[in-house]
Amino acid sequence: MNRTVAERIHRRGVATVLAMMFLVVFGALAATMAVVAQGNMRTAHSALRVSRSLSAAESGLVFARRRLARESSRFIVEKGVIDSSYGAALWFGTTTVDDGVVTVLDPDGYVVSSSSGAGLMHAVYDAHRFQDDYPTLLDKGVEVPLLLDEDAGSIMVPPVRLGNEDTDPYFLLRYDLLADGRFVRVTSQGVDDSIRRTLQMDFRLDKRIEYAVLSPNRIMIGKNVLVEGPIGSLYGVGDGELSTENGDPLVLRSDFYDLGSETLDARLDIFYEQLAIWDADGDNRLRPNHPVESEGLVGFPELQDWDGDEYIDDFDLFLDAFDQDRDGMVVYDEALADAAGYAGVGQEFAIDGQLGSLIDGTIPDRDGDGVLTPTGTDRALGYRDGILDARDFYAKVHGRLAFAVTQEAWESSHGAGWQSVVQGPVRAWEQEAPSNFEVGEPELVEVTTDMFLNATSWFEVRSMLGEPFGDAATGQVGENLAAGGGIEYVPASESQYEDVPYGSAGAYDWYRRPVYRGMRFEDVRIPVGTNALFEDCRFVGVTWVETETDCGDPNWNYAGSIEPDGVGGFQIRFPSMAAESSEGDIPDTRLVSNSIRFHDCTFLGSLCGDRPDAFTHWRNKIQLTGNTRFYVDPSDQDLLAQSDATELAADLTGLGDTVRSELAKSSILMPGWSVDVGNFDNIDGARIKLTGIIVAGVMDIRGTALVNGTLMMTFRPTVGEGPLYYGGFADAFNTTIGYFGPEDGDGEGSDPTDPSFPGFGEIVLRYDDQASLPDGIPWPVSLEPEPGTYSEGGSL
Amino acid sequence: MMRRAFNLVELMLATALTAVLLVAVMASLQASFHAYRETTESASTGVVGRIVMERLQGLIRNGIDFAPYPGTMSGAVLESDVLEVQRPDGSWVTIRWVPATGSLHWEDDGADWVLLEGVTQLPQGEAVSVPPFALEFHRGRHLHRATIDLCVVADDVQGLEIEGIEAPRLRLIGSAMPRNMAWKP
Repeated sequence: MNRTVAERIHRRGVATVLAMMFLVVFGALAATMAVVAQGNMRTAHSALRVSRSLSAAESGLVFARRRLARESSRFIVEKGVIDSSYGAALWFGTTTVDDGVVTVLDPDGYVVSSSSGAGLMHAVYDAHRFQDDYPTLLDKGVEVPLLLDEDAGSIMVPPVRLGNEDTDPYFLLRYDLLADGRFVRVTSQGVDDSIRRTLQMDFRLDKRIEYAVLSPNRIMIGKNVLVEGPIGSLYGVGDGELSTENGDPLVLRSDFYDLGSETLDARLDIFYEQLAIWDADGDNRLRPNHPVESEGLVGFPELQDWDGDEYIDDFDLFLDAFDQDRDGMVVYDEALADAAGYAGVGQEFAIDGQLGSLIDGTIPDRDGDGVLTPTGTDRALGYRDGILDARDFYAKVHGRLAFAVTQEAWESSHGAGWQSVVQGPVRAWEQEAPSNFEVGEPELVEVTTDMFLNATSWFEVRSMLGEPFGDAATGQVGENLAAGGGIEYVPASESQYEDVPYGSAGAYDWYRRPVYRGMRFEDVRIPVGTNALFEDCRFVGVTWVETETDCGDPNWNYAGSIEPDGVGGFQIRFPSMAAESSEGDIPDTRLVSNSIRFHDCTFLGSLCGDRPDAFTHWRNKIQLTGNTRFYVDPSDQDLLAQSDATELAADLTGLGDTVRSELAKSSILMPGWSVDVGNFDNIDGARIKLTGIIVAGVMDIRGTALVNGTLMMTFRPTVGEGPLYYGGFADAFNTTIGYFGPEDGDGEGSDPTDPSFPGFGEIVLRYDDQASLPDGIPWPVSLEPEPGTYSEGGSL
Repeated sequence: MMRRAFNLVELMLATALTAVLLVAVMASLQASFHAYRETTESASTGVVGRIVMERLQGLIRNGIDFAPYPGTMSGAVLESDVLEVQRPDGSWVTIRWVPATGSLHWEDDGADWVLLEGVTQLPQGEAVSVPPFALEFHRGRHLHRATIDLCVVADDVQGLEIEGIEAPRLRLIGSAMPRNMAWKP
């Protein structure tokens, strides 16, 4: 039956209402969810864009960092300290003659067809102009050109896209010299779609020689020596320098041989054999979890990671040998351990207390807060706690090894892998390779004696301010003697002959020295031909040692030399020999040079000398023996621990802050001299402390010493020239730190099997990144980031 | 003769059908509202969590010193309920997770306010809480990387648990390296 219209009109159903209600409710729900989902998508999208733009801005900072580092390294300057005005002058290219010589090396990797100027900002600008080859981009629809504002010292860099797609993010850069001319601010803006993020960081213009040791002659670092800083060796690139027997650019001796354990010695042998084959990164360690290095551990269960640092090195073998209770710690000093809270622990390592002290005292500021707290956090982190363990962060070298020589040339000449003579773990700094070969300028610059023409100027001027050295009746010597009280002068004619080097089995000359005992000198110049022994003397300010600089004659070393005659007396070694100089023939060059020994002396300042034209180690020689001390800071903890601390501090305070800051730039500034620090007869407890840039032609450091700064050598031995004129090989000259014996190619060392052998000593070479340089050393400047200035925000 | 009304059986049947339909609709509506609340609150918490995470990462990136410190120098990883950050201006900020209230606090110069609520630190299916901060130190106090791991229950939907429905949990993980470490020369 068909329903009528009236029936349809009068139906009272609820289906429509329900359907509408469902429609509305579910529709609303669906719409809400869609909105929420869309919002969520937008949030995620924005978060992604923020992240990408931030990353793009960081990429810009990295780009700028590399560019600033590369361009700044082309600027070789003589001035030691970069202050605000000099920094600005370098940036703008407005340095003057008074600023010293500025040499700008050619660009590396690109050609500048038309230089925009002489400043660092011009170099950076030209690098962007001639090296960058990026597609032109529009930023906010506008083309951004490369701009140099020479008045403001600013550079604006057009966008650089991080990829090939049009949707890839890009960054823009801006460089600005700040009011403090030592700083350049880099602003980097990353852009992704419409999202922008801006970062800023300041870069500091500075001059640092980032090495603990830098030498053109061989570097030999013996047992019981730790290096906290990079080592740079320029040796091996000259003719005849490399040789099979002793011609290694660097020798590092493990600290853990000869500790009275044949088992340990045998395991060290095995370890170094495996290391030579399997060490993949040249850090003298093997990683158990490394696919290649772990192969070197297969079949040698005795090679275990005892300190848990995920590396196996010779320190692990040491722990294995001496950790009797297997607690991961070796106690070498019960008293220190007790004071540090390890009560009741028994001594486990006693054979070499100096080695224990050396390892336990490395990296004193262990919590990195810039303050040494010997009984606080630093000790809690293992410093001087009487215990050797993982917290001591043991490494033979904390820093990288940089060699001018190629690895192939070295190993080919040596006849074995270079690691056969370079022992001990190398912990490079962050993002650095442990060992680097073929390193050249500007990273590794050879410093020669000639370059020091201006470096010593402040010190020389200062040395002239004092009274003359004098004699028994006049000058500073006369004043000392007049004061009486144990002060003594013994003429050379009344003293005994003394071997040079002092106490060495391989002495090459003998001197009768006048003796100055118990005297105090201030800003003094020691005249040529003094050849004295100073005992228990105090030198305040600059101590300047004079010598004849015109000493290039090959006979200079030998004219006037003395040797034992075999019957208890002494005789002229080369009777008919004379050396030529601008003043005529000189039969005895001792009279116009200076070979001086300072014994138990205290230097409250710097030891400097004339700059000889040639290296003549028989004549221009300084020996610092006994308990010779160097201080320049009146608040130095080592100084305050001395019995005469009050007098020493008063002397230093009297010099004034300005003078002390200059003196701190170099404890020893003797380019072209042979300098021996320490004693072949190691005296336990006597520590020599040097600061700043320590310059010599060739240097030996023995016994116990702490160097806070950089050892910089100037002498490159060349066959047929100077001391090698009459024969011999370049490998006969080396910078020797710590003990080496005759079997290592060092004829000056004593024999450890001798019953009177006093020990291996304790030496730390610690690079100081805050050290100021004296003027005159040509070295590249650097523009390095100041991490504390990183900030997010700002605008271009 | 035209019928003008339902008979009793029809009426009862219609009433029963309507009741069933209404129950079904109400249940459906309730589930829908739950789902709506769950989704919106999760989304809201997610957005807030992302902002908090971004802010904490920025704090770490820009920080110059950090605490607590490890007890050893050799690459220690420290898990903590607290993260202290020294800002470039020298002031310290403490981010503290308070388990009792399930909240993440921002303490700055004596002031203390809640940064995020519902921070239970109980991952889905886990009964034991995880610490919100993992600090990887190199050489004593040098923070190399900080990882933030937040397990958050969308705060407003916790009432659902009374009804036997497990509230959704979000897990937000992010890490950052202090730029004074990353840019160290």
